[in-house]
Amino acid sequence: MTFFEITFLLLFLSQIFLISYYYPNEFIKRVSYILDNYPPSEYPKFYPKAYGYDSDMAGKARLNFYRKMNIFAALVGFAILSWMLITGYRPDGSEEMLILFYFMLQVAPLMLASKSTMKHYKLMRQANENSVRRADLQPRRLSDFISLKYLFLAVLLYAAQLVYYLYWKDFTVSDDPEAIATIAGIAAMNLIYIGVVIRIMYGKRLDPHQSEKDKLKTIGIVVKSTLAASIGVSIFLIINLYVQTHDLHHYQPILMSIYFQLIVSIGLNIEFNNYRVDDVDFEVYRADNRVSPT
Amino acid sequence: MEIIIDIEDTEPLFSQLIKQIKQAVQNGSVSPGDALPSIRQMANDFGMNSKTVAKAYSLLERDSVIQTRGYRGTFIHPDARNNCTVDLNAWVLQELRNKIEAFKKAGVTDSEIRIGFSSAMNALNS
Repeated sequence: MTFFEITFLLLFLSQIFLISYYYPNEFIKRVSYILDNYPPSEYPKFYPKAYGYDSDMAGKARLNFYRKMNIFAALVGFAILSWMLITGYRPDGSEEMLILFYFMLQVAPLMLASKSTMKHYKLMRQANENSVRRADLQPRRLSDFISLKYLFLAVLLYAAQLVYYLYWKDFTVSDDPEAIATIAGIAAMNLIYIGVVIRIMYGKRLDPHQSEKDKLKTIGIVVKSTLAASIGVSIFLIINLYVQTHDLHHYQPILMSIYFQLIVSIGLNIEFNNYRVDDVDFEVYRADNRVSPT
Repeated sequence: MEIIIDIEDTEPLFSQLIKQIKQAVQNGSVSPGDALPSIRQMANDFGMNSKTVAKAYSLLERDSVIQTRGYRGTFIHPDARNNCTVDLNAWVLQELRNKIEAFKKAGVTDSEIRIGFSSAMNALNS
């Protein structure tokens, strides 16, 4: 086996481990901790269907489903890896689509979990009977959550990858629909990131009971993760273009795998490190938590 | 600093908001020159219509408790603490009372005062 083949197989193994085992396991530990230590009987506001509904069991069932989906993704990964080893398949750099589709399968449980969380918040808002509403008397600014030099870096990298791409296309993209679609796609992705940040900073409260401190933490995590994703995409695109222009196509699957692992690791580490479950103020989810206006 | 309102309170929401911001100014929680949240941010935090916050901000601006500096946002007025104590409603009431007393002394009847007041208001609004 060549160095390239060993690197590819090791990175694929690392992708299976990180995205389908390690981080899902960390996520499951966090949710299990919440379900065990903050049960619906004591913290009903955290479980919007807790009234007359066994949401403790429902939470555990959903968590179990999440665990099974990740086990399935890991098994598929091991099956691909085993097939490569048994049949003597030699990676030649044409596995970009394999890495991409496998990554999509791996993040599907995370996407479903995110969707489920948004639904959970919606139910919390619908079940919210508290007439007392709170707001912070300070404006929220981007600089409260991230250093502006990182924002500058993100803009700079976006511009750099755009200029690099145009340079690669000899600055003649007006009659190249594929190039226009690529530029528009990357711009749209960054616009979505901007929309996500605006939504979390100035949009409706997701969790109607969350303390102000925890809310600011949540905003910080989303802003940092989004910025990291934008920076990551630009760096990946620049490197990807570089390997294409220097006839290093066969490194693309390796780069893609590294990129996916980094983007998931950075995003989830930001969340796990900045939003520790034992620091969350769960008192706001107790049944009799009613505050009168002062 | 956090402000709290009760949507089931009989007092209008904009009035609760004005009261809370004035309290924050008076007890020093916010100082002259401090920035306030945008109308959109505050409305979404409270889960209320942005027009309600806009109304409260506009009345606070009228009373010189806050000031809007174009695109830079809304800030606490330099004389906010003094201006918080000014009650425009009480002032209007006092001024009207003085005028009505003067009319009555001159022999103007109640209905003449009402008609005159109504005509003056209509003339000003037209």
